[in-house]
Amino acid sequence: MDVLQLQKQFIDYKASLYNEGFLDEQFTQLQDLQDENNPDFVAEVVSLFFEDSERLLNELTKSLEQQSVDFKRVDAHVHQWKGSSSSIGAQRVQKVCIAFRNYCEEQNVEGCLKSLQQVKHEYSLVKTKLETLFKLEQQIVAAGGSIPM
Amino acid sequence: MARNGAHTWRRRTDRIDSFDLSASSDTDEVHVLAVDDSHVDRKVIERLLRISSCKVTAVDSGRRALQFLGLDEEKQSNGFDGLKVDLIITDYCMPGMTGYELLKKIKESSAFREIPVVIMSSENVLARIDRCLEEGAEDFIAKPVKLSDVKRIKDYMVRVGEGERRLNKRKLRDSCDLSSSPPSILSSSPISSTSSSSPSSIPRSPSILPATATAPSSPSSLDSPTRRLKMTSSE
Repeated sequence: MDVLQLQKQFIDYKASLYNEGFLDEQFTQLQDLQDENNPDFVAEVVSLFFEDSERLLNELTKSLEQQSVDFKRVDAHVHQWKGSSSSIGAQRVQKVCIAFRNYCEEQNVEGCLKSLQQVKHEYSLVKTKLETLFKLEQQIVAAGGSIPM
Repeated sequence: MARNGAHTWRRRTDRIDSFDLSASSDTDEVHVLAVDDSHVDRKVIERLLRISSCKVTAVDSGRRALQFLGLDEEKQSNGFDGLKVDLIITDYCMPGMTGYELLKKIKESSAFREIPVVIMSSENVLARIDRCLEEGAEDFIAKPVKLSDVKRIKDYMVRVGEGERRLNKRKLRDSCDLSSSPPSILSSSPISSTSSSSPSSIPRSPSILPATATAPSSPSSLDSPTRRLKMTSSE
């Protein structure tokens, strides 16, 4: 595929992520902070988000497996996840976290378990999509092109 | 920022277990102490501040922030020749010490109460905002933090610094017990804003509504920050 085709593919793909609500304006904010001197800024932040998310997913799974669920603890973890997803613009993950917190407040185990599955799903989706996006960027650069803003 | 030039600052912005004790000599730039337990948010706020030409030290807890300032009761940093901090920006919700508790400790300290403290939070609970402002917080930023938020805070600081620098230096010298306060680096860096008790006539743009893309360009000066925020909510 030539550079122009790659660039078009990138633009379309990125637009779809916004249209489908995977990413929001905050992601754009992060991209605006990237420049020639800090070319990996977004990738670095996203990578931290992935690390954080894996950790939180583990903690949440363990907490919800307990005989007696510590809802405060669960809520604290979800709050963190809501925060980090909001900071990178991962809108759908953030939205599920909000619902998750409501179940915590109600001390509703079933609701929490359902939310856990949902957040796991949304996280895995956005992870794949961001990885695809970065891959497209790499392909463009490898083909000698520049990444469209 | 060229990689070479950024080298010395890279050390200071790592998560610190031991502090880099070399005193900073060029303090023309605003030095911000950023406090947030979230790794993601620390990275973002660090970048936002650097791109706004601030020097940044990012720590992951209120405890570490106090240690950095030399205020931690348990860890006495004797002869700590601290980097002068011009602004503290802290998350509200943190395990251990909350941003509110950190704010209180700073305002209770004769050496550091003059440093403006800005609180960040993802939850815009008016009661929380009120409480922080009443405790002496300079401003409140709704997360996720944007470049416009940081620019606004920075502009406000520089304005205050230029206008009131001499007055504040005199105030600090007169009111501080010099033997107990850490040595301040007398340089051309702007001194932080006036203490919370004196009314500020500098107009501040509203900050709490996450939906607003741009703050009004010429806000009227209101005496009470909470009144300003309440007015904003009803707009």
